[in-house]
Amino acid sequence: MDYIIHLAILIGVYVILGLSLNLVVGFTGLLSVTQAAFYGIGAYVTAILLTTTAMSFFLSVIIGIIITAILSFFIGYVLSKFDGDYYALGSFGFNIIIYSIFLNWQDLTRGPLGIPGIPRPSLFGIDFGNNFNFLILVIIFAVIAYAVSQFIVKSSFGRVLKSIREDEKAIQVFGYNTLWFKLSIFVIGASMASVAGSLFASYITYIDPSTFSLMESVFVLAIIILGGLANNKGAVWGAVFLILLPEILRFVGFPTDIAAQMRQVVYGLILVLLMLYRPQGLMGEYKL
Amino acid sequence: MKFNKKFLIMVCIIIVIVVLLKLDGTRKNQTSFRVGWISDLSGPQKKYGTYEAGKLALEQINAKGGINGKPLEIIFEDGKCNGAQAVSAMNKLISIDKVDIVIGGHCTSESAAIAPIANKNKILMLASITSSPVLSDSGPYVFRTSPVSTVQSDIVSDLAFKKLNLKNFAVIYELTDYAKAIAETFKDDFIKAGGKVSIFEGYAPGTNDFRTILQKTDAEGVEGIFLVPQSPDAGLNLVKQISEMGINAQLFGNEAEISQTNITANPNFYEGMISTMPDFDIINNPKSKLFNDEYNARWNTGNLPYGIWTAESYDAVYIIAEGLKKYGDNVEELKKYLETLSYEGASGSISINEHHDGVKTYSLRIVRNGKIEKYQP
Repeated sequence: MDYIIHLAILIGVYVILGLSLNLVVGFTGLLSVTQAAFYGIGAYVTAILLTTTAMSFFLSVIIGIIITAILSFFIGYVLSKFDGDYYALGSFGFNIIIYSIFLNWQDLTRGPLGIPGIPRPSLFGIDFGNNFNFLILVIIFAVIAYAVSQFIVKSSFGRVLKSIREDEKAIQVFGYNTLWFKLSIFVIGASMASVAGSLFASYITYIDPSTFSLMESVFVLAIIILGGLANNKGAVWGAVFLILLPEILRFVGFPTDIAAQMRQVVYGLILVLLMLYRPQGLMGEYKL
Repeated sequence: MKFNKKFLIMVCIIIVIVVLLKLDGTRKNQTSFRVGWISDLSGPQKKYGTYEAGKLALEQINAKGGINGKPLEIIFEDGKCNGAQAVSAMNKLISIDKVDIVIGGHCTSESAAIAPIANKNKILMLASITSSPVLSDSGPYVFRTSPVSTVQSDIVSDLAFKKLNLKNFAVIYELTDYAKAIAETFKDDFIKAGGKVSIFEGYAPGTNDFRTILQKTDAEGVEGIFLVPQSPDAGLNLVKQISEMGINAQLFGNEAEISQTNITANPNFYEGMISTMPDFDIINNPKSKLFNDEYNARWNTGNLPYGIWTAESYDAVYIIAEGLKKYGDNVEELKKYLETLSYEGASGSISINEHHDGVKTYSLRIVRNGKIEKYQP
């Protein structure tokens, strides 16, 4: 049972990440691959605060959100000067910069050594050290993230985002300041990712920079492309699919000498096939 | 769209059914001793040869009739030397395969992440190739065969300062708990003795170009360089670039620097290097020699890929097997057994101290004509 709970917790964390990136990539059409950096900032803020001070987990989440929001504001401002493919490359660069900071600011992050012994939260006598309770906490956060995303895309704000994606010049003609819209959604997306990071750090209890490398951003991007861009349900199903697939492959029963390698190969192959036969993803409404 | 949703729901239902069936179908099997295993099976740390060593031990034990007539069964899971992956693997082993004993992780990222789970579920965990101080005193159920290996720093410092009269050192180390601890201990010892450490540089795991660091050695007039890598590739690149740049200083290495596979392939780079090594001798110790021969015969390799560390993984399986033989799968009894462990294995004599760390003794080696020999200053 612990195994299923564990997977459900991971899915919950990645649902939040997927939703956050979907707002930026799916709805607004900004191809960003920096999400792992904001995910990492949230994780590190929580890890550092909880291991060095006796702060409450929930307060550390809020501090994580604030720090991420401020940083993502500047990053988003710089990125908003770019367009299309250049945007992707620029965001790529920022992920590498932040990853290097995790790796090299050793006094703060302990560099590649990582931070062990991150405590689990407790609130009103509920001990989240119990995995089942922690799962409920993650579900609550995921539901809030889903509701926020749903609210944003259904609002007039969300409609402007979609029209930026379809034709930015046209919406500017109507007098909308698109920079402001792009920047706000980028900051909102980053803050949500930071919450996912806090949850992850507290759940695994040990983090090191390798978890927040560029590949992680690509993985989150894969979740929403596979699930379907510009669809919040897509982000959820994408996370479910990409987390469960490699785990199910543990049970296929390859001979042990090649099991691990075959798992990787089959995993990759399934993704390629899916993209070939369903390029818009499982429930996508928009194609890159 | 409709079709897709149906399809998706179907897929999910199938997934749930498969997992549930597995959950039910593999209740504790009394006809064999079942042990879990977590190591990197598909990434760069696979080079340590841990899986091959564990598999070899497993095959040997079962070929001799298993443990008290029951076969030993090891379920190998991939931890990818990554915390989250190792936690997935650990949870799978505990809830699906119902194991009470896990051999692993086989690197610090794996071991540090799964240790709390082992304690919580009262799963006996025996880690190898995990030498970071982070894992000391990790809880009642967490043990390791690897020592916290800062002992070697004292030996090198003592030799360099007192016997070889080298006063100015450069220390280049990999930024891992394991290597950093050795480098820092050396620096403290050497400065306390009266020497000077003019270059003290760490590099991130995966770095391959050390020329910028090495360039400074000439300007600083360094007489000795202490290389403290963790990964075999970095160790080779370091000596290769030192040789290319024509740096003239006495080289020292930690146990990870001096890999027989690398030395055989590139003897020139290593000539004259002095290094510390745990007392692991594949020529004079019959158990080590036997393991070396059997490993090479089984996996068609010329050398042990990672010397003592490969042997450590092999011993871990035998240590657990011996415990199972004496105490059955009673975890509390096995815990006591590990606390007072004294075992003569392929990696030398292994015992475990009160911090649940392995204990090993180190001595000096030198590379002469592409061979690692004992060194007497």
